[in-house]
Amino acid sequence: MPAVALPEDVRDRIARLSVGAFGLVEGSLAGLHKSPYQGFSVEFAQHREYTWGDELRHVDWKVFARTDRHYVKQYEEETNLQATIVLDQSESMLYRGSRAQASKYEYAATLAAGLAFVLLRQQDAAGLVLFDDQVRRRLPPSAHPAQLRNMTSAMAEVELRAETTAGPVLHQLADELTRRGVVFIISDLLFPRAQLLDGLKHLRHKRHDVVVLQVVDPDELSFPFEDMTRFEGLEVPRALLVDPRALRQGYLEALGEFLREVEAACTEARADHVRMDTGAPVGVALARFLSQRLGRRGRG
Amino acid sequence: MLFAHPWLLWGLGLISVPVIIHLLNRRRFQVVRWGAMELLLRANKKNRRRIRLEHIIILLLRCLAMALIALAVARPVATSGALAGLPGVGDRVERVFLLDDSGSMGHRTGRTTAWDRARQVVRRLVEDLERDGKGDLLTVVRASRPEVPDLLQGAATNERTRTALRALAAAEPAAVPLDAPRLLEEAVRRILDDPDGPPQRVLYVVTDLRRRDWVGEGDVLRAVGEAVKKLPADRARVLLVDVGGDETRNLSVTSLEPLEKLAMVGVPLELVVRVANRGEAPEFDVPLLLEAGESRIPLPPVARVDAGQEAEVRHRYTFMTPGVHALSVKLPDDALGLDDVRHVALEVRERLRVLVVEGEEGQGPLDGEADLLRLALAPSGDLLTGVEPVVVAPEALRELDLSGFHAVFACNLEAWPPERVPDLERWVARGGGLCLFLGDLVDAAAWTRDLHKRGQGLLPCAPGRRFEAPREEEAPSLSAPEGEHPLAQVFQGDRNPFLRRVRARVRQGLRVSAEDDATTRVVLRLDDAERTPFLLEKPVGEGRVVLVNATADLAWSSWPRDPSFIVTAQELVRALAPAATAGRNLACGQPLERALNPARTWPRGRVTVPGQEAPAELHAEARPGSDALWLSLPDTRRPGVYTLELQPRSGDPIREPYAVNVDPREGDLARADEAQVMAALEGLPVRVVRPDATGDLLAQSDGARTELWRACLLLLTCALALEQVLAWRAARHTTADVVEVGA
Repeated sequence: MPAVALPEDVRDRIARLSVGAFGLVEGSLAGLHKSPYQGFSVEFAQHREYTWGDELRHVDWKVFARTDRHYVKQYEEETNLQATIVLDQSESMLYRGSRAQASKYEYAATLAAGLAFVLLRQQDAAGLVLFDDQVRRRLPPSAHPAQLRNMTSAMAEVELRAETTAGPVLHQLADELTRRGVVFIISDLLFPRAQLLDGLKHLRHKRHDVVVLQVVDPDELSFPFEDMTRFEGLEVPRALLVDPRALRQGYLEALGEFLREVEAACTEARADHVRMDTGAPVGVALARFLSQRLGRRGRG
Repeated sequence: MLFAHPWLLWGLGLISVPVIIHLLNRRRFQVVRWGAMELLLRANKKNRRRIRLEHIIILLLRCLAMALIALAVARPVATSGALAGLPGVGDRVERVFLLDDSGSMGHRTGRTTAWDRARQVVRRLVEDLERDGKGDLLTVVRASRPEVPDLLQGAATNERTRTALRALAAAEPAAVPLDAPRLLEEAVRRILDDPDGPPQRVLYVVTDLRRRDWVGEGDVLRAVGEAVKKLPADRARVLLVDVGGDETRNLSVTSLEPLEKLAMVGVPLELVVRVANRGEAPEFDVPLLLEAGESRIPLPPVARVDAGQEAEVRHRYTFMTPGVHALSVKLPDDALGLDDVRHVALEVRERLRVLVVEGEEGQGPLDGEADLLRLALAPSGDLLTGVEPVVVAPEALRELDLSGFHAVFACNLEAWPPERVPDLERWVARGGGLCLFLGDLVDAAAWTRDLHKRGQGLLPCAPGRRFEAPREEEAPSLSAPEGEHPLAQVFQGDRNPFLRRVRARVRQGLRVSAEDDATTRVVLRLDDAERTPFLLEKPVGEGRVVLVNATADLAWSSWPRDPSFIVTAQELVRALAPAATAGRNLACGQPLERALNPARTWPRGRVTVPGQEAPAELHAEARPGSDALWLSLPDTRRPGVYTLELQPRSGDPIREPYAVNVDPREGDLARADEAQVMAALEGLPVRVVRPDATGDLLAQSDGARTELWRACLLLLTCALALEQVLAWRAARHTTADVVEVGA
């Protein structure tokens, strides 16, 4: 079971940062995000009939007393952000090289926790989707402070075993995420680029702000192996006994091509793409990511 | 392909080391569970062929490097066999070693003699041929006996060759001069007589290349060139392998001779010893030791011998017993020991036995043909001449053994028994002296047929027509002798009174033919118009024949009653008697021969050879045209005193020493000028080579033979460099290839 927690140094480093959405997002928390909808706010807008899921504190008991029907009050105010963190729990995420801070999954999970921490701290809602070849677990977005603990527990309880099949998962999410928000996809993206492109396009079609955080191990970038090595596929049931020095150049070329394809797919789908090197401290990487994003949002 | 150290070729097994390491590496690997397997598989699929090719090339280069290391230490040598693809190169070769085993080959330079180096050259070449395995044949001939090869066309590996090489290893220089033209002529003749032999021949003449052997008076090289010219140039070549040392410092005893011709008991004999300095610096106080039987007599040291000069030492020695004695003179050992000693064997006599054959017996006192001569040889009274004349009739010649006489006088002899003429000729040739007086009984036809033989016989000239002066006063006298001669000493000077006292009333018109009688010398002539020869001398072998154009009595001339006749008769005996050294002093290589009278001596003998403890048994054999039996020892290549022991049919054994000496010129170590040799042999397939430090004669003779270890090292360097480049290229040891992450 992977150890997932939000380290103190990460927490301190990102405490003063925030996650913002580039476009209009549907939400309820005032302040950071311009909402296209009316929500719960101090400035009353209208009543509507209560439905399952509405918070009881918004029920207008006076109207209930007069009409014996449940209405909730709606206010004109800034919306809060609803972010969904889509975390790859496939077996390839287990890899941890000698120079890495953690396995890719641990690193990715820490990233997810960091993001959730930032979101919840700014009173945005954060949800979690764990997937490999299908959606394995899902925590609906919530701004409740307990959401962070729920998320870390969920991420710690996973069992990494299957291969990644991102295409159906992303399509499923695009269909189910009815409210526009930010979707963080944290994965090593070791699945077909066409699936990635289709999924991203679908999410973008649903007006979500999509951010792809590609987690890579330093070993995957430099292929530093010297001696004869038997590479056993974590997801692919293949093994290869090879002199890694001889194959290094070819691998790096294949890697370069892969990264370029990922970059191209993200660009085409108008999704943000950031590579996260697990050799770098996760706090630093996350802080740099959030700073850059904040800067871009300010400029945008 | 030859290898100097073929056993190191086991190192070629190192070729398997890279393969083994490669296989072990494939068994020793780490396991990495890898996420980006798809990328790895894609890269592998794309690069698999290139990687495999690179690995194979690198593996082959490593194997090649191992092989080259093994080859380099085994020192490969490319030979003609390695170039067998070239036309004619792979033909079998007969390698003919002509070994100069003359005395000078014993010259020591450093630790080895030239003879040692010559045998080393042969041994190394045989070893090379064994490794080559091309089946070349080997012939070994020593110059001292070119007719009897030590080995004839033996394969390098067969037992016959090994036996011959073992015999060669035990052989010593023969102390005979090198006859280079004869050596080569014999080798060339053998090759030409063997047209079906190996198609290629290489003649290695291994020699110390001394000037006297190869240049001589300038005609040696020409004769060598003539011999080589007979070889087919495209199928034979000659290498003069120079194994001689450059040091020429050497002292030689060049002669040990008695000053007088005859050695008599009790009469001091003056011995002359000559020492030559062959070096380039003078030598001082050279000690000499005379050995006479058991005696060792130090001679006065030679105070100084200048470079290239001879010094003489004289010593008087008195023999107290008759018989044959041997003397030796020795120098201290130097680089060439062969010429530091010299021997002489002398016959010391109590008296000279002279056979006088009286052709016409006289009726009264002093009336016989030889009476006056007998008196002249051995005058009556107290005068001792040491001459013992024995007068016999002509019939006695048919049975008489001449070996007991020192000189023979034949007076008015009708004819020498024809069947005894060969014995007479051999006796004279071995040092006997024959004096023939003419007379009216002489059968001119028989003399011409048996004794003159158109110049091939003993007579100085053919008999001529008889002339007789009417009166003694008109008879011609003797002319003054024209040159110095011991026999004419008494008549020297134009006003010599003896000249006119001799009147030749009867004479033969003798004519000395310039063609037939080229060696005849006229000692005295008459003063007639024809200047008729009166006393003639002809050398025959070691002896001589004197013809007197007069009778030994007073029938033809007045000379026998003249005092000059006595003097001349005495001089004649001493001139005709064999020298004390005659027949007993041989040069190395000259056969030792001894005639035996089987009636008096058993037909066998034993000879003690210097350096050999056990005497060799000899058995006498008959020869055509000779009543005597002959003992013969043909091999006298070892210098020293040989002792022949004969067993008379009655009495004690006879021990006769013979002195066998090396040619004194063997001590002359002056080297032939290589440029001069090559200039004289220009245009012929002849080269002069010196065996290099490795003794690699095949390389020098075949030309295509080169050491390849440098090439191996160069290839090794190239292979390792290429391997490094390919390995580096395969490994891509560069950090620039790391994909940079996340801008």
